[in-house]
Amino acid sequence: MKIARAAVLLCALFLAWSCGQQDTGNFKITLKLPENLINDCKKDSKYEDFVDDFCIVNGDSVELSIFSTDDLSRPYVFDETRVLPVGGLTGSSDFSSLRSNRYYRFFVKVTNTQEKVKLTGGAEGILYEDTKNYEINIFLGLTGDFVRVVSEQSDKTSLSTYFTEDDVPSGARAVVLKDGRIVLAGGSIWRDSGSESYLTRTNYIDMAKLTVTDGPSLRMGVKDHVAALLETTDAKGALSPKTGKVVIAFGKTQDGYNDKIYLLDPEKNTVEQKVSFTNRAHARALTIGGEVYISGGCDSGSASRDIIKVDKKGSASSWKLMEQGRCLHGMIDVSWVTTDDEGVETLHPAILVFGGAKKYINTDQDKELIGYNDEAFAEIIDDLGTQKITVAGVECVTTGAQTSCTSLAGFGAARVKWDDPNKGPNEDIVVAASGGFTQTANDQPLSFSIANYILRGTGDLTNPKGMTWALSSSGTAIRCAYATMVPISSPDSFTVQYTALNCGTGKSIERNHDARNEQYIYSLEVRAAGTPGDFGLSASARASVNDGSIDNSNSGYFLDGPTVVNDFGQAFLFGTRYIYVISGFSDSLD
Amino acid sequence: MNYGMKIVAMVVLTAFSFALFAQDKSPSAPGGVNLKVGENFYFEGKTDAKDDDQKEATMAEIKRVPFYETTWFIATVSILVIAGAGTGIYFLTKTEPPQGNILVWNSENK
Repeated sequence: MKIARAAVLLCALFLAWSCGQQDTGNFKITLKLPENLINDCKKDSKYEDFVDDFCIVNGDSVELSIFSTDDLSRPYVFDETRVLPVGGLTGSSDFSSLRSNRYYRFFVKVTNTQEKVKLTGGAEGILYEDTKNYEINIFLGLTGDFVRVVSEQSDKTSLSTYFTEDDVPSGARAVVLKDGRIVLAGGSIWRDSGSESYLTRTNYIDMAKLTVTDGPSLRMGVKDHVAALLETTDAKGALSPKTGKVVIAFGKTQDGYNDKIYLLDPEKNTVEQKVSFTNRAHARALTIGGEVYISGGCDSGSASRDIIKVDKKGSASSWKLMEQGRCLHGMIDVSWVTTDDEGVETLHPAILVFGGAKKYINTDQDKELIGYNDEAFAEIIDDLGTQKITVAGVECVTTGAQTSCTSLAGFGAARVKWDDPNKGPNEDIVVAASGGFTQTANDQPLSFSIANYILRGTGDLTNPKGMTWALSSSGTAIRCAYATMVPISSPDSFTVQYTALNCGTGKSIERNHDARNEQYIYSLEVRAAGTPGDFGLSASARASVNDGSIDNSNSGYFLDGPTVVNDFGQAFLFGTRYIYVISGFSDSLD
Repeated sequence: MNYGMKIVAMVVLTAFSFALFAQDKSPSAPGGVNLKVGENFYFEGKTDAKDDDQKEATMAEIKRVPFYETTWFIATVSILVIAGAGTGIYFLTKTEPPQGNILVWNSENK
């Protein structure tokens, strides 16, 4: 009988072990393709007008790169790349095993037979355990061009993962968390009557699941606030929570202006109120070295000179004062890193601010742009203090009683970098700016800016205050009062760098529910021409395979949605119904 | 392993557990019956309150061979042991490609 019992026990153990085989660390990645606005992927590429950019077709290559790290506070390390030849419209392939208890980052690049990188996408922050099974999506977007994010190609409304058309906020702000999710916070909704409702709403947009879920409510409804990622750490210096926290500060409220700074914790799903400063809206914020810097902001009477720093413990305090109070301005990270003899790197935070307004702008009659009263058009602020910088091309010209000065507010701006000294000015600071509005003369109302700008500093990158600065411009068809811009990843060793510009639907400086047009989205090219030491730069809107950078099916209420960029250099732009993506050409911005 | 197989496995496990429990507990269960089978059988039990017919019925039940000594039980256990061991060996030694670690795409989703 003992033998029988042992046999039964062995049998039971075998069966129990067998049952446990369901979760064995299987990992399935489904590549989600964008909605094809041009044609049908089922058509063969032999059709003359077939645009295969939206599809994975015979002859393409799918390149999967895998990165991992043991802690999200440390950079990902490259593990391997697999190139998978494509033999048809559908396919699958195995890839190598993953290691348990590590965070993974996957980047997918689809290249056609002419070696054109046409689709890219990625997912990150995925903690792998070999006792679980995983199924994730990677949404592939067109490189350097915009597409709507949809979860199924066949269902154009499948990113009702966003909001219904009359429920999309204007003046909202967004942030990408360390796990790749996007937090969208606040904004206001225009009603048919013309009334405006300010939102306390926050949402998590998960691009790996292609879903939107509710986040915690803000303490008060705000628009034109700031939001930035704060990498809070615990007592041991480890990133905590793993997602980072979101600094949400200031903004316009239903009855006035907000003076508070909040911290949103995605792990606890809470919003914590920190300190109060003075009322302001249209400030700007940056994350530098995991800490958040907030510059300026204004109310109906004046603009703030403050630069506030929120450190990794979540404490906010005044860091420096700008020479000029400003809002609706550009704020660019011009920090540098030094390395001592022992190889220890030190980050030196530095910020470039330029342009902007001296008060909250409501109409084109608010002639309060910086530039007309000997105000500093641009400044650089670092640990040592603040310094106005002289910018060639920024000037005032008087003709009779009329004076015209360089002025610009409400624009989108982003810094672009070249990785190859033979392809572009990799030792310069180069900032592209577009959209927004200007005051063409002292007696003129505000009007749309009609130029793409390049603000360029040449000299020593470790001394931006000592650089020689110049502003150049070229004409453009881009017209939008409240634009947002981020850089996207460019091809390695390439002459052109790219940015993504969300023009929203606003075709008016005055923001009313009926002051709207179609959704305009652009990818901006910053092209270097010449030889090392003598590169010339130009900025222009990149031609889109879509109809004139417009989504015709996306009319709606006035909207100036935010734009964010993830770790892959892939931009997400918020429109009236859809979230758009402009994919980068490589796996990161660096 | 699909859901159906999982149910079958759990049923088998439950059956085994019950069988082990029954074998351990039956001989000494409180209020049980000491049984001796022979020409002149006797039993101990609370039969005083029962009439003769009832006594006969009770004895008919008690006279049965213990279930774990029955042919059907031994055959069933044997089959299940072999099946279970086979299943376990199958999963231990299977060499089919992994179900996971897969990248899939579909451009025909129109």
